[in-house]
Amino acid sequence: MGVVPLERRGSRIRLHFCDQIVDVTPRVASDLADTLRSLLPGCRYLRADRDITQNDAPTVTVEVQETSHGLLVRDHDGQPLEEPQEEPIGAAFLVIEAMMNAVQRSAGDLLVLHAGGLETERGLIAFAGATHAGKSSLGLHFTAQGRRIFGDDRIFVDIAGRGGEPEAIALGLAQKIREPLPKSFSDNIHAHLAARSGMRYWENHFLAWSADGQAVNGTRAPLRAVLLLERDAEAGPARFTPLSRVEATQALVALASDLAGSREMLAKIVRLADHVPLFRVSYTDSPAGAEAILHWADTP
Amino acid sequence: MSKTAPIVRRADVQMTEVEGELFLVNPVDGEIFHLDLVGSAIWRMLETPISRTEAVDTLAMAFPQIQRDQIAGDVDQLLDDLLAAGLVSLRDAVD
Repeated sequence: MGVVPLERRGSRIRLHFCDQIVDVTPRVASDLADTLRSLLPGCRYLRADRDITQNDAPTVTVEVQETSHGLLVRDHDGQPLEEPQEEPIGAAFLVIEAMMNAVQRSAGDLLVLHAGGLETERGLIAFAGATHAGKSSLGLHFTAQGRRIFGDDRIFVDIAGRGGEPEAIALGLAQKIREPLPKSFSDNIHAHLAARSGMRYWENHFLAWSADGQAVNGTRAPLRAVLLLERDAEAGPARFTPLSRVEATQALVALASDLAGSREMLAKIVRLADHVPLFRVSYTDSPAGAEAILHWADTP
Repeated sequence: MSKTAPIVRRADVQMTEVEGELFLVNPVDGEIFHLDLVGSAIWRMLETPISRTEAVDTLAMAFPQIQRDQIAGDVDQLLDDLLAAGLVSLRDAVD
């Protein structure tokens, strides 16, 4: 038994995140590294120190500092994000937030939306809403039916895109679902979840990565529509109601993560509302909503 | 609130118009506010500082079909919100 050199403690993490090379420094405890990989499985991680040293310098650095109160995460500018986190999952979420901040600052036309994305032949249909709006439940139904999604919680939107039209960009975040599942979920959904069981944290169940069901970080697709989710047990048959530009702008303001300053964010939102139609979708429960959205999305 | 004190718009508020309605960005904290058509009309009137009474008078003439009390209540509510958000301020009151 001897003294373990500091550089051998924990894991060094380097990953590719939306065209950026991100280092999480210094070496972080393996439980944080494992948690980060569970929450963000759709990224390319570099595997060994040998691979890392042979690559280019990082373009983004996120620092995780051990303090007596927990893990303190600092963004690329060295600013602390929230209070020190007692649990690795809290720190891992902040590391992801720091990466999203850095990427958004590096590219002026990016916007983060609280939305998942359903891939269709004509492009991406974003399904959007605040926490508990039903995004994850819909995402689970879509992947259970063999469809590919751009996540179930957050997507980037490149307002100008590479061809002048808005594009959605997948982040590679893990799908998650709150348990227990509602009684309305079919056996097929239960089986799908069981087959992809991953990390659990309290009532949250993070699904293992599915190469067929999820687009990896950085995947782009034309953004064709944004659906604003409205789950209402009394809704009756699913309805798709187009929003006016004012209503769309209001809705997008509520859905956008304010990561890059609101002056710029509002300008991007108005441009997005000009180019992409928004609809309010009312539905009774997730199975009915998923069926209606798939039918709507696949109808030319 | 004083009825005669001029109400002054904060000069560095960013405005974006969508179909006649305004979205305002507070330069201090980046918060975004939406004004409906009437609120947008009041904001535009405040380009030149006017009092609460003058704003109500102008709107009452523009919308004779609406009760003056209702207009006064709407103006008070909007101005309270704008003051609370720091988007406008009151110049020295004269009453």
